[in-house]
Amino acid sequence: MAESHPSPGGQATYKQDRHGRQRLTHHLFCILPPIPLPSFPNHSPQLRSACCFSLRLMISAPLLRVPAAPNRAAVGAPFRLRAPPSSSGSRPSNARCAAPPQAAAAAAAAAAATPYDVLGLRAGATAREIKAAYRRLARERHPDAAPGAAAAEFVRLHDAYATLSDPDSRARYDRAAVPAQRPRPGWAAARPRRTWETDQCW
Amino acid sequence: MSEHFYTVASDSETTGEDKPQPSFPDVAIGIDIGTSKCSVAVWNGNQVELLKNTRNQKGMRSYVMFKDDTLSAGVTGAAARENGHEERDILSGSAIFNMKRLIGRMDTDEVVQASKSLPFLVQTLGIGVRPFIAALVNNMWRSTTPEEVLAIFLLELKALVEMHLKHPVRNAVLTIPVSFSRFQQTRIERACAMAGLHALRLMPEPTAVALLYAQQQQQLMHDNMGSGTEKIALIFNMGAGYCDAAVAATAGGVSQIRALSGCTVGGEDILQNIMRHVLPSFDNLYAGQTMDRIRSIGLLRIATQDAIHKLAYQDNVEVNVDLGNGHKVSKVLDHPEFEQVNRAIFEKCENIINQCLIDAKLVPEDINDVILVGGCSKIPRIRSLVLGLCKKEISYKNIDALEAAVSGAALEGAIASGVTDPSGSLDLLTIQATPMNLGIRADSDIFAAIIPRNTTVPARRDMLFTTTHDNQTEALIAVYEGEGERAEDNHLLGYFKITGIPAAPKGTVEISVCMDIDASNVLRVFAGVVKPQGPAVPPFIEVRMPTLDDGHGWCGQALAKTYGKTLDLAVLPKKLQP
Repeated sequence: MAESHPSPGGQATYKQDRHGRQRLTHHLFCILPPIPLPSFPNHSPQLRSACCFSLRLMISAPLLRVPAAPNRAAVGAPFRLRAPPSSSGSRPSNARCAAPPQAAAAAAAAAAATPYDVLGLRAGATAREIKAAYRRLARERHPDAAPGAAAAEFVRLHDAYATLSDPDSRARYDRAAVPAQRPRPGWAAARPRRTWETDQCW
Repeated sequence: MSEHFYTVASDSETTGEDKPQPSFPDVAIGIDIGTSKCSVAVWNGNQVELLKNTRNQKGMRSYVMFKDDTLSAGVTGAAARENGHEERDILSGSAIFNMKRLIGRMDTDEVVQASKSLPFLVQTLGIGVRPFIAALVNNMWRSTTPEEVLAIFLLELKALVEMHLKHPVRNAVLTIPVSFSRFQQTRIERACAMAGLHALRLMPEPTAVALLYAQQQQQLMHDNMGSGTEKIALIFNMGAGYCDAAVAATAGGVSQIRALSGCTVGGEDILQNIMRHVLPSFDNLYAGQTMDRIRSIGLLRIATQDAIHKLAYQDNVEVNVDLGNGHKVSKVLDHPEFEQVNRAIFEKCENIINQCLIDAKLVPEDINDVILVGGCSKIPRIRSLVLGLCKKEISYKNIDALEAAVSGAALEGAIASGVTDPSGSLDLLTIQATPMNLGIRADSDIFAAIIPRNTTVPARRDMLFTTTHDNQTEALIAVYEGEGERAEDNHLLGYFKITGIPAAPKGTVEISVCMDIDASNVLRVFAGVVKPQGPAVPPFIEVRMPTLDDGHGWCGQALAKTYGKTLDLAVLPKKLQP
């Protein structure tokens, strides 16, 4: 459904293409194994999941914080373990495609990304591009639009959008992420993600 | 057209008007249960179609008439003697109406208090239990409940739809006011279940309108008439019982609800204000529920209602009615007077619109279209007020004020049932938001909001709490919903205990309370100890809310009195949170 509707923004960057492909695998994984995505760092699944659950806390908390508790992951863990069953609702059509295990892995991988990565955008994306990307991806990830999609995946997309759509929170996020990028500009795609994860361990 | 009864699940006895309908057995129907009128619509394969009853009405009066052993709802209007006398029969005390205002409310609620001047019996004790509601049958008050009344109505409505579609109907999308609590939503679901309907979705009314708007915008884009850019609509919906506002941002068939707000004022309040205005001794004259009183109030109600309707099109109107027993009302009412009498209501309308704009972080200039729907949107002052606040000259034209909500519900019903349309007119997505704060009681009587209002759904938020006593081993999680700062000012949805908390000095244990709303709008609360960790810590508890069935006002007070101090929790200050 979404594939037939090109993004209204129409600014295809290579990252968007990459995301598009990722989504495509998502739709087809009943038939094909997912294509490994080289740009995702090979961290342990626990760490990835922990990061995904503290995403919101990072967004709402002030970013310049003194490192405090080392057990951030432990706090997040019970919720990861106790996540409710795929909350895709009572739509009859949902029954035909339950989320396969690969979906969880793909979701976890996506979670380790920066808000820009989640939306498939470059760091300098305009507000319009952010909105367009959010809408396009919402059509793919919202449980109403994509039967079988996990609610957590949409929550992550929305959190990323919430960070970037509000100028203040975006500025705060960018300030925290940019200095970490500077030393190795060649790794620009990977660096912010690393910083993000380091933040989670504080 | 002569009146005739229909038979359920029978194809015989159809009139020439009935055309064969394409069959979509699993498509959910859309129902708009209004305080005053109800309507029902279905996706007929290429568009939304509103169904008419045997009297050719799309908007059917919402009431149930109690007579001897028979009950009949306003869907067919069979109980009323003739069209012209329907309103008088409804006001005879034998019919229960306004069930949408009464459903799921306790007797301390001001809406219930204000319903005591209705012709049927509404008795209150004022302690937070269900009000006693009864209809007059053969000079006796026969008790009923708003759920039962609504179920009888829905049963008749279901039969009407089945007669049209010629197949059984099971699923329905219903519209509800924004200010409905989750407890009230369960009452609607229960009424549906009693009528043999499954409430697939309960949609806040303005979001149903937003869906219709999104479809129209999408259509414009397909016809190369629209620009494809984001459009922001402010939807203001005011009916007989409730008033809602929403801000929706729409582009490419995706409509995101940016903010919702609502309150319990509507045409019924305007009517009661005017009745008291034209007859200042209203409350003294009609203190008891006698037959005389019921008859007089009925006459006054009809006259006043008529005057308000006329005032929408003319400069002044004369209310002239003989109430019997020597009481006569004769008064000319003009616009300034009407507006003065209802000033408090108009202020509330302004407040919810302003609140909506603030919550959506928008200024009036950002609004592209102002959509006015609901019966009260015909009142000139309401129109000028909403358009003025949004700095617009005219409202959006392509939406019918009385049919928008039910059409949106039928669209959602088709989309949620998995129907696709080759022309793309069902390729729509609404990203909903929560209308009210959800949280728990903490720090004796503070309402700690965990999911704030206007959070996008599905949502998941957590918050850390700590113990308030040394060696506290149990804690009470009382879940509330609402806008009040004190827990008591909000709706209690349910409660449960966390037991087996490891003994520790107060303030050292960390208890996490997580709230999750899934795409079907089901609320789950997860709670448990996260620090210290180890085998001594009890397992987490997952509770689907609301758990309460009845009398939550009474229950909340009892909980606070009995356990408020001993099982209290404190919000863990942010600086201590990792």
